[in-house]
Amino acid sequence: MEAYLFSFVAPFLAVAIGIGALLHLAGFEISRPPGKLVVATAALILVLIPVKQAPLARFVAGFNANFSITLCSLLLGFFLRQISAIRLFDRSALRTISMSGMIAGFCLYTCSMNLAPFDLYQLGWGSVYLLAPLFILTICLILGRNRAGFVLATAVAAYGLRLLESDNLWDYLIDPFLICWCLIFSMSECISSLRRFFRREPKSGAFERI
Amino acid sequence: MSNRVTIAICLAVCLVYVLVFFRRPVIVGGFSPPPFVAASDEFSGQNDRPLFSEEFLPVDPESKMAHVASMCELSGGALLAVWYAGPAELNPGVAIFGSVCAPGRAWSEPEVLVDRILASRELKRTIRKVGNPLVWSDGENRVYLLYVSAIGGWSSSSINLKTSEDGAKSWGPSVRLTLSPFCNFSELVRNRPVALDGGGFLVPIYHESIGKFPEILWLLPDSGARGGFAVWKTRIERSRGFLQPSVVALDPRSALAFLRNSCGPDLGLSASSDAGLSWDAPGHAGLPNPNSGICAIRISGQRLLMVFNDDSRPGERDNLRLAISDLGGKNWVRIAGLEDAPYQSFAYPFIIRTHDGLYHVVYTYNRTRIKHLTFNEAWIEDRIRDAGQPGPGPDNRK
Repeated sequence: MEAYLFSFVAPFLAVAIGIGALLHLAGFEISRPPGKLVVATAALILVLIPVKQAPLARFVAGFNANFSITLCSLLLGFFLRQISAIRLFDRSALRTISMSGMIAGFCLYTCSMNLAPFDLYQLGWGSVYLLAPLFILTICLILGRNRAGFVLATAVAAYGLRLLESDNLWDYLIDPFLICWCLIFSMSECISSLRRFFRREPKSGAFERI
Repeated sequence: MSNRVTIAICLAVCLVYVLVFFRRPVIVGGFSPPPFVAASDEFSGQNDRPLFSEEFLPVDPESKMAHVASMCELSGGALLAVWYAGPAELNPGVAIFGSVCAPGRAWSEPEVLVDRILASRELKRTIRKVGNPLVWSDGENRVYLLYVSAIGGWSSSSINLKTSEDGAKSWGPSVRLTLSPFCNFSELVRNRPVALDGGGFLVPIYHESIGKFPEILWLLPDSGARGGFAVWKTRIERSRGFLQPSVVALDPRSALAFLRNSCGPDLGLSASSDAGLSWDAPGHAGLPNPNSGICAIRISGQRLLMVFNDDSRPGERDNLRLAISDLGGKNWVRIAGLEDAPYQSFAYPFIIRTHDGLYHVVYTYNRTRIKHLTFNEAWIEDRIRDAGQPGPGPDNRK
């Protein structure tokens, strides 16, 4: 039952962010109470609309029933940022999530396609070989004041509570949609870094003049 | 954040990890699977006179296609056969049918066990297709049905479990098994499971998307888990191109897996000596394989019996033969031709042995019907003599 109810969370947040973006583009103020209420209500109605005899959220579950806790946390962060001043994640946390997501996704999906001599996904069924490194990483991130550590801790807690249909810890950490976001975010970071780099060029020219 | 707050958060995180560590599914000590239920050579009766019979299962007449049959013995000696049928493979109109044959009676009219509408309702999501049913019993009243459901082609398949507690008279709701990190896609089931000591099952499954490879699904009893089983999955390593493993337990620790070959002309063979946890890199079993399903079973006299398509040209399934081998699984002797008709198709054989010593084979007949053969060991011995072959491992025969 918990897994069934939780499967509505990611579609709800995604739809709410989409509606919020559309309303923002149309010039509506959504950070004030009436706007927030409109966004949340519209998103709720949309995810409950029956599509082929099931609510839209469950129609989506036909394709993917296990949206990771990391993705849900990111969506919640984006939604809160859209409708309020709350910022769940700063830039460094987003960078940490995107980098670790890409590395983990590359390793996991490569292994699960039988392109490596071992299967990392196997470790997700309660293996201490996954839990122990995650624990160390979580503590390190929290001590380093990086909010990605809280996301990891939340994902592990959700795994303990079996909030997803899956019994595999990997499904609480990453999913294909999160990896897509990680790729897009990393590419945008690269592009903005390159832009910054080229903007600094005149400074070196000044050095030459001296 | 002050240092005190950080320390408090770290302690809370430690607590979360400790709780999760003790609440995680414990897969029998982590990496030591339970042994197989010891395979017995002993069985009683029906062995004096050769016995062979054939019949077609009562497939729904409105179905233009019937495929992938499996069967099991229910308590009391009745047989339950399941298959999928409908307008065409991967058609939304396909349903999984079941039929029961009580001792001394005819097969019952086929009943729909699962169709996409029931699967959608039970799994609470959109299901477009169902297929590949696999049925087996725990030897008492509990019967299990694994089937795949898909949102698109077979590469979008996921495996679901249904359980009956009353000998397949009624079924519990479907439970989705999450076995793959990529949207839980591309996991399929086909061949007979192997019983494990302690009540669990090793189910041979396979992955079919960008690559094809065989895997092992472990269903280990856990009353707290969904579907009553803790789920675990391992794979037969270095086996790209092989699929649909047919696993035969030889003793409590060792087993052979015969593998359909999608990339070559020979049947694959892999061995395990640690109760299925790890497997050798697949070699050749000494039989051809035209990229078609096979099924093997252990019979008396330290021998194996294989039902297979005897052709090495991909896709050629116009014959179906029986062969026996010693327990090495490489010295095969063809003993009988079950089917042989050019331009026809005989595929996806499935074999079981019932408590009365009879062997039952079901297979797809021209993609439109399901044929059922019954024979006994005396018939097998007769076929070995007729084939003029002494058979493998005569010294080991009881």
